[in-house]
Amino acid sequence: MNAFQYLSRNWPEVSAKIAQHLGMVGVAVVASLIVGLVLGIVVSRPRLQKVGRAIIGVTGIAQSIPSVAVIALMFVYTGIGPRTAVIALSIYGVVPILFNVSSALLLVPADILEAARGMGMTPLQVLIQIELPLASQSIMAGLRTAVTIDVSTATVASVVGAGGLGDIIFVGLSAVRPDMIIAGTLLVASIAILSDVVLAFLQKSVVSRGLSIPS
Amino acid sequence: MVGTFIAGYGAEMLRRTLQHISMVGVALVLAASIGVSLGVVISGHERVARWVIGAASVLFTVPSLALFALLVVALAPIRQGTGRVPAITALTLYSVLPIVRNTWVALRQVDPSTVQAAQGMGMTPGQVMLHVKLPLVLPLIMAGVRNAAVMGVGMATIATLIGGGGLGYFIFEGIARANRSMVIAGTIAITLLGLAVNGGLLLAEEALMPERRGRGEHRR
Amino acid sequence: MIELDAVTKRYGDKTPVDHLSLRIPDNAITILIGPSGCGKTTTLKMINRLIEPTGGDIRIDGRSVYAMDPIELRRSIGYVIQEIGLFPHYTVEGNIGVVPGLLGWDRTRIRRRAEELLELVNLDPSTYLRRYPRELSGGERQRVGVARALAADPRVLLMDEPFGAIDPINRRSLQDFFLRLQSELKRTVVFVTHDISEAVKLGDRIAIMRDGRLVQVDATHALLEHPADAFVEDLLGAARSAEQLLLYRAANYVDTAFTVMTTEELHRSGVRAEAPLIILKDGAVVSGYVEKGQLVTCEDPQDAVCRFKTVSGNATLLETVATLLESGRKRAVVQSPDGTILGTLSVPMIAEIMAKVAR
Repeated sequence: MNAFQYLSRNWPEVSAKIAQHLGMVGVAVVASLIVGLVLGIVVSRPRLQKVGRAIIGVTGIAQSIPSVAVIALMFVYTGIGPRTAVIALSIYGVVPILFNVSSALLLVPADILEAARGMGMTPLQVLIQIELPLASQSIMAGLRTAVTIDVSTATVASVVGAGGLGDIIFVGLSAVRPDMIIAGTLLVASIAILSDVVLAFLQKSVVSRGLSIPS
Repeated sequence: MVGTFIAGYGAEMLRRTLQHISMVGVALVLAASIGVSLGVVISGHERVARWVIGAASVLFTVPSLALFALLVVALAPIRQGTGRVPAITALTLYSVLPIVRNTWVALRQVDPSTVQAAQGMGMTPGQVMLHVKLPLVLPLIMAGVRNAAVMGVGMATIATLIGGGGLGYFIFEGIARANRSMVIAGTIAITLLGLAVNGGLLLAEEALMPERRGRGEHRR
Repeated sequence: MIELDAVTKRYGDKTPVDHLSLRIPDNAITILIGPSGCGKTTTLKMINRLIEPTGGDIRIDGRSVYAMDPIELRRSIGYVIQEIGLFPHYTVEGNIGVVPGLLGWDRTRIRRRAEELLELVNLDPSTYLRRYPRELSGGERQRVGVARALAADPRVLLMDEPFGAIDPINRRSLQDFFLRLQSELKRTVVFVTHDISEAVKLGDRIAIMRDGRLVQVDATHALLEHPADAFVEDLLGAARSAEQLLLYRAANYVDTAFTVMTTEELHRSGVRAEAPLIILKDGAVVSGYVEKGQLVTCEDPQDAVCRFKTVSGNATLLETVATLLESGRKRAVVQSPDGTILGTLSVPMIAEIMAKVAR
């Protein structure tokens, strides 16, 4: 049997796995985004700048920890199941987002902030109208990274019983069924590429044309 | 608990650490050779460059487990479906993107007047590349290699699933056996390895950097 | 009028501004100048409360700035800084429209205002409205920055070394542009600079600061003629040299002793005045003058003998001398761009000014 036959014959189960996979990634990304944004904003405020730079340093190091390890560690505390995976993915996804949000916000030129204050913007207006838009490119990039990592890690999360497309690949590997392996990898690769394309498109439309976008 | 585990499995951990390092190391060398060469080749050609980088980006987006598994299938016919070969191949394919992208971006940013000065002195394009451009962009390329290395350490964790060995063994076996100490020990080992690789390569970068301060001279 | 009343700023054991009292008159450019660290920028920023003073009061038209909400205060004052700080993610129109937007103007009104302002600063609206800051040259950005500060039509403009980051050639044209603008708009401008030539060129009044205190404040020409002490002399330095002086504005040095009569009045009353008498014919056209009882008139306005030179108030003394020498006339009548006669100048007068001021 080849991959497509496998897919057509087992579509109900396969589509369930797709849904599980997307669900895990979706929830985790939203959680990471919220936490990462809020923390990133808090940490880049003028009075907290020293703390901010320290946190950026820490997240830089945290990026050295492989995502699989975070899942494994979470497993140690919460056992098997999708909940473990989602928590781990959420935590892990905060890292690239927090890093990008805080470093981008800290990089907003001081003269622009001064001009904004001097013109009579309230601190909230400065944040929403000036700082966040100027940081938007970096924030979107962080989001893309988080999504890519999450899709990838969710695949491996099947070892802790999280479900998702990883199940198909793992079963295929242990049962030596190339059709399942190919089916699983094609699906997961397509999802990864597709979500990246969608996010890239989103990035372009969100970021102002006045900011030069490196290719 | 973790301590006793490490004491008990010490030799095994060391062995697997070496496996892990050698996997990543070989992949890195291969990826660097391919990546830098590609970067050099496409540096003059804008459209080709975008295609190549695009293709490498797509490859990069594919989840690591999927790529590993695909290679298992692809290499099975030639009996290389398990073990180090598919693992190293996958790691190499992943590491190419950061390296090729950094090389290409860095070469594009070389100051044209420096290049013109070199050409004016009578250098061939090849000599310009070798003696002027590459030495100038070395720091950025090193950054790309370092990036790839750290990622590689993380990704190589999965290699154990396809028979490639490495420290991932402790994580997956730990989960299968519900042995917390094993999982934690494996995690710590991999994290430390990642940090050590990052730090070590940073030192190497800085060792090379001071030389760069005397710009305008050929690299010996 | 802006009044600074014993304004003080202290940080720990440092006192960047120490009991500074200064009156800033309306509709004129007052310069704050002094060596690095003298407190001029700190003082400026206390006017719009970007920095809060530790002591003293600042009143605008009698109202203390502390009685007002700082955000509203800032929205009513134009603020231009050296790096300009144009928002890169907004178009030119977007940038200009920021304060109006904060004040709740509707989009049509904002667009019309932006067009108006761009024309005022000599940038064609149809080209520039939709451009982004990164597509503009340094000089263009500066002008957009000034336009942005004027958007909500503030009476007060605070400017902190606005032309400091521009190359000298473009700086001159920007300064000339700003002078033209000011003669049309007549705002109350507080302008910080460290460049004495710029101060003398642009300023109606100059306040010299040192170590947080006011050393001397006076009208520009008065300052040049009577520096208070060696420090001020030193600061004025090159500005007091003869060559420099020739660059300064005719409007600041005119002899204001003159009478104006129309040709009809002259025919009716005859010649009587001793001071230079400027004769108007056909409204604002100057067609003759009287000096020391001697009347030089003519009926034919085309007659080169009687038409004497009018010079713009913004012209430099150098240009005035050149004009007079070229035309062989003895006097120049200095007019502001809107036609008001400011006074007269002659070559001997200018030479005297130079002698008095030069070291």
